[in-house]
Amino acid sequence: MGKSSKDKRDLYYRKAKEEGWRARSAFKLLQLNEQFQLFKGVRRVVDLCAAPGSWSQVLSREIYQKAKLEDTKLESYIEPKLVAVDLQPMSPIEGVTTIQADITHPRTMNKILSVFGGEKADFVCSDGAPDVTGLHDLDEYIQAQLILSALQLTCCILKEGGTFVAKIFRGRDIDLMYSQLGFLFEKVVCAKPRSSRGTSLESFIVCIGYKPRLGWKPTLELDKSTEEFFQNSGIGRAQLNKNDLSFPLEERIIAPFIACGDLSSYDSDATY
Amino acid sequence: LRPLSHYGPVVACRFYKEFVLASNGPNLKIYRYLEDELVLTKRIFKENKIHGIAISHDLTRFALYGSRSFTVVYGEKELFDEKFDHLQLGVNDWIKSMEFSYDDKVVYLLTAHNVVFTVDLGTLKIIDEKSFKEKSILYSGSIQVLSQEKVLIAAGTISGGVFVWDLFENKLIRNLVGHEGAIFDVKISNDGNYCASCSDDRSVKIWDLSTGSNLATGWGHNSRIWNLCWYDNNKKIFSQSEDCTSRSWIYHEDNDLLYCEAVYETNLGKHIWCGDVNDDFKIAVTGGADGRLMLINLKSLEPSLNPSFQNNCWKKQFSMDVISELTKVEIEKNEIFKNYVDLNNNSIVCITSKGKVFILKDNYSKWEFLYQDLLYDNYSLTNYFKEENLVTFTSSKGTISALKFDDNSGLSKKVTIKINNLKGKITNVLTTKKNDENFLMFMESPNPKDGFMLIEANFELTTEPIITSLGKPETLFVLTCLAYDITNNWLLVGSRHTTFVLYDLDTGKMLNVWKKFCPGDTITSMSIIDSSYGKVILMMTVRDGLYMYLEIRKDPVGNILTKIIQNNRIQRGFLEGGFLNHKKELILYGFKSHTFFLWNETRQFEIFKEICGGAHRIWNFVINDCANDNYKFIYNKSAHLVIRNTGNAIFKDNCLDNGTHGREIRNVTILSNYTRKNGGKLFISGAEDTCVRLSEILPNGEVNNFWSLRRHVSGLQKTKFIKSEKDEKVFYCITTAAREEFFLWEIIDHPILGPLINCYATLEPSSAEPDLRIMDFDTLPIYNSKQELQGYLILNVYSDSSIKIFEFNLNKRRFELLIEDRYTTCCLWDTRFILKNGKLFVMVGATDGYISIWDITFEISDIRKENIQCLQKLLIRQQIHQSGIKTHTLIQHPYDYNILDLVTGGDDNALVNTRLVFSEISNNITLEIKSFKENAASSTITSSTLIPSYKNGKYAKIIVTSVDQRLRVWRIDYHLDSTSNDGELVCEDCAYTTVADTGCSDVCLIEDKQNINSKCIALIGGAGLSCWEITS
Ligand SMILES: C[S@@+](CC[C@H](N)C(=O)[O-])C[C@H]1O[C@@H](n2cnc3c(N)ncnc32)[C@H](O)[C@@H]1O
Repeated sequence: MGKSSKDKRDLYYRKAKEEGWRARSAFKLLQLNEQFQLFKGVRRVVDLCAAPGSWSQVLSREIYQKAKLEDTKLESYIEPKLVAVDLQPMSPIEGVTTIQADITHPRTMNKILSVFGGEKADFVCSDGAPDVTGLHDLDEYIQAQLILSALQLTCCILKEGGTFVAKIFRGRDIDLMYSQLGFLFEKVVCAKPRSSRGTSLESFIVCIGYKPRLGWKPTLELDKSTEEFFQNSGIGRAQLNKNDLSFPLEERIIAPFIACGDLSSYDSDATY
Repeated sequence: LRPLSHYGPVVACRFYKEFVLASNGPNLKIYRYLEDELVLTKRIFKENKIHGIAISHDLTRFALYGSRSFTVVYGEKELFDEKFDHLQLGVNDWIKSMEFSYDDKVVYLLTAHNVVFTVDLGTLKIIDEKSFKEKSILYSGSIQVLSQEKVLIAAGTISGGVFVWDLFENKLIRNLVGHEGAIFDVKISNDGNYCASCSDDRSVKIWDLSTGSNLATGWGHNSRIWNLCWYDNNKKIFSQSEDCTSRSWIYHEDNDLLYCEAVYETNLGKHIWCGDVNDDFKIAVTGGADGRLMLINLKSLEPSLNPSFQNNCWKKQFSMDVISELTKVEIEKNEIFKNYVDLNNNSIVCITSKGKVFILKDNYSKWEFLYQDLLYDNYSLTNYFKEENLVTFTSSKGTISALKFDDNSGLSKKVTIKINNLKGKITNVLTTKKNDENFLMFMESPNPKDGFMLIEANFELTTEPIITSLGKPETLFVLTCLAYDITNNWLLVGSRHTTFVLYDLDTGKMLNVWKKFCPGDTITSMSIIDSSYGKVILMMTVRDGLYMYLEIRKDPVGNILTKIIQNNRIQRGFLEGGFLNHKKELILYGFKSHTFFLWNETRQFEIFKEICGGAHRIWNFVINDCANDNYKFIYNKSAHLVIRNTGNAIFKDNCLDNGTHGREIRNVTILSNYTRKNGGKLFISGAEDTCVRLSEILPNGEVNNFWSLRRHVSGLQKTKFIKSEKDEKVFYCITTAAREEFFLWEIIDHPILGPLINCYATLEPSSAEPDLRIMDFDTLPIYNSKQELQGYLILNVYSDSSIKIFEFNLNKRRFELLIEDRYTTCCLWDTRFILKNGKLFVMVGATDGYISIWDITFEISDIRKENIQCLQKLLIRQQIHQSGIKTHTLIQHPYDYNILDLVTGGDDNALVNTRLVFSEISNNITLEIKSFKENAASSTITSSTLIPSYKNGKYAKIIVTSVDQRLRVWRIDYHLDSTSNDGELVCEDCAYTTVADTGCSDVCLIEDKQNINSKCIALIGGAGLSCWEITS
């Protein structure tokens, strides 16, 4: 989408090399954290679409490494748990459990849940992006499906009050997504880190304060699609009415936009 | 806002009787394909694109679907009714495929999660829902209705291969694994025996459904493959790919090969999305990202199968042995054809390396030996005039045999002409028609003592030829082509090294020599395309791919003036020649690796090609009848003489819809102050495909393209017409891109040749390996004391934060750097000169959301110093947006000259009106935010343009585009007294556009002849181009 594909060897790329990040994406998570204090009190995280693993590196450094310094005997100590999932294989990162799987597949969700062993996560993030075809509406649909899959997992595993962050491309139907997320979180913000190019449509939804839907029990079933999973969630997704196929209109909302990262920090659009 | 027209990706096309149904965004277009007639365009869905078209078995019902929407059309009456309001139906998932049941009573609908709904066509209710276990997301899927009892579903997954399942038995038949990556299309043959699939891995695979084994894999596409269809009784497959080709594949059962029979390059840029085959006539249609719909004659390879359909299309091959046998004339061991010419009496005359002359006559069926002349042993030069049935052979010593044939291909006259007193050997001879009676021969011998020989003779060979000598230019000259202008009696002679000469045949004098006129080597063809007294327009092709229109003029004192008025290059290999067809479209031909091609340059498609082995051979291209696209190409290939005759084109036009750029349009600019004779306005668009297009927009929204220019090598950034008052017939436009590409174009609208465009000046990049993007620019005309336009001040902003101001001299075509500075380190998006109270300011908008303004009055004044200046007086530096400022519009306050309203749109979805108040005495500017619309769009705002009709009044209006595919009209109210809402932004109208990646716009007033009143038209660009009327 847009010009994002042109990976100019920019400053962030060089800086990532210097600092030992596997990808320049690390700075996006770091800048989002700067703005939203995402990692505060966070111990258990699911990092979806994580390869090559720079977000996992950040999480490992900020959560796992910091926890190592703490006194494990304290009653308040909670064992950190980081799980990273991607279609692609990932070389190991200290403190991170990696799973190679398709996040749109219900089986993958089960795998993740079993790693957590029934416990809840504090934070779910997804930096997933499908291979774009060039058919803008189809690409947007697939991207929305990735987010929906991540959201499906989130509904099953995120603790009340937890945070969900996912990559989005602000296309024609992004306001539908904002509206639906609004049913599940206290606050939904569209954030653009300065390390993400202004020329690309990429930004991130930061959803703070998970509030499970009253009267809806999210349950993963192997033979259910994500669409069916959300069928009775009441988040404003169009319901299938077999007796009336007239096209349903869905609610749209514009989420507030926040640019994050220091203004004096590098500009990813610039070429030097 | 009222939509007028839309050009964009075609993602679905189907043959239906004598029609082609094609999608164009949410619109359905119906063409009568043989007549090249667009029958109708109608909107089917409110927003979603049509991705698929299904037709019932009894041809009475149609299902159209795309995204989550679908509709069913009952009968042709509804289909062809332009006003019919189609039901907007939908399900809660992406629809991958729809098909009618065997009895046409229900329709099956396959979703992207492998669920099949059965919809009753009477009640339009879902009466059944089936799915097969796996519900992960599909990239492709199709339904094959084999009978009332048997329906097969083929589902293409992202990583699990293909699932083929039986709808009624609800059981898996096969899981076909073997492809790598996502499956982008999968189709079951209509006998139910085979399955074809294509994927990310660029291969086509066919599978035997009875065993599940992979029968064959076809490689050849250079990119992902999007679409497949079976044809020719399930023996062949027609495929479409991202690499912008369609291919036809045949399965050879005996050796399990999927063999690529033919490659069709029909569309431009990237992606052919869809294709369909009419199996009865073996014709195909394809649609691509360029919005173009092209017809293909799949039979052109095997014309003998159906000769009635394409009359006179054939290919014949003769070896020397066969000709020897047929004519009972012995052929020596190394004897080959030296040349062959095609005559109007349907015959071909050939000469061999032993001076034997043969004729292939009786409609190319009978060989006959004419004579042998040992004068032409080992060396002969052949020329001919097709229409006059005249052939000449010239020997190295200057003896010409001129042969005249009658209508029955009989040799009716043979005359010998001798050139005496030759010092050297003849190395080349070229001929041209002088007038209806006479022709000219132009001969070259490399001996400097020989002049060029010019022979004038008559076609009937009845009068004594006149032989004269013409002076040679004092430069390396190797004759390659000729052009004669009858109006001025001028002869133009082309050479290698892009050198050419002009002779006045009245006086025999050389009027001018152009040495190394342009880059490149050989001038391969020249032709006069327009002439008047003392002036010609010459079209010239250069082998490397360059072609140009040149105006050559003799002024009253006799000086020869030359001006390039059109120049461009093709990217298809070597250019051998070109001509204008009956519609004044430019047709070019040449070689691209192993093939000879004929290319319609005006409309950018290939007319025909022949895999001949390449340019290094004897060949002859013949125009039989260009109005019917009837051509002949004769060549030598492995000791055979091959004659390829295209015959008349079977379609009136094989391009049903011309479409637009092959990739996202990044910028459009309309030449608003000039109206063409037909009421149209010229506009220029620049796109990600690196092309700059010159087109026109008509009052009804119709777009016609004139030129596609290939000077840029990177994706376009900005295109703008700049003010030119020098001559109201000459216009200038600037285009910029990455790699610091900056071109200034000169445009004229020629009364006969139509709009022409030429790159007038180029700003050299600052380094040898430029990697900066020129993000935006602005210009200011410079006049001398007589109020004549001298040039422009040019302000560029770059991706590395630098700001540069140049002075451009129009006559010298030179740029001089005056000011160079840098903003910070962040990329600049937007810039503008502001002229107020005799002072000049520079404004920039950056990715950090700041607006900055400098006063540069002093730096730019006449007393400026020699060296390059910096920006010194920063007056404003204010953050307005959270992140990048993508666009701005400046509006003069109607009641206060010192107020300019700056409306900016940003990446942060906001639209802001910032008021700039200029002081009359000091150079101070004060700034105040007048209106702040935080959620002016749900995504990045990409462009804003002032709507001209409302320029002066109590309010101003702008049109704003954003990536959420919305167009919004915003009004800014003005009041005499500064009441609080003076300068407030109010959204007046909002419309959905089907142009995705909506990125640019321009607006103009256009005179509508029917309506007397002028109307206001907006062009919106992105992944496509759409035209809107802005009503008041
Ligand atoms: C931009 S990269 C993520 C970069 C990562 N956050 C980092 O910092 O290194 C996007 C990833 O999404 C993954 N992806 C896309 N679709 C997926 C799916 N369906 N399941 C799992 N991963 C997927 C891709 O394999 C790719 O590695």
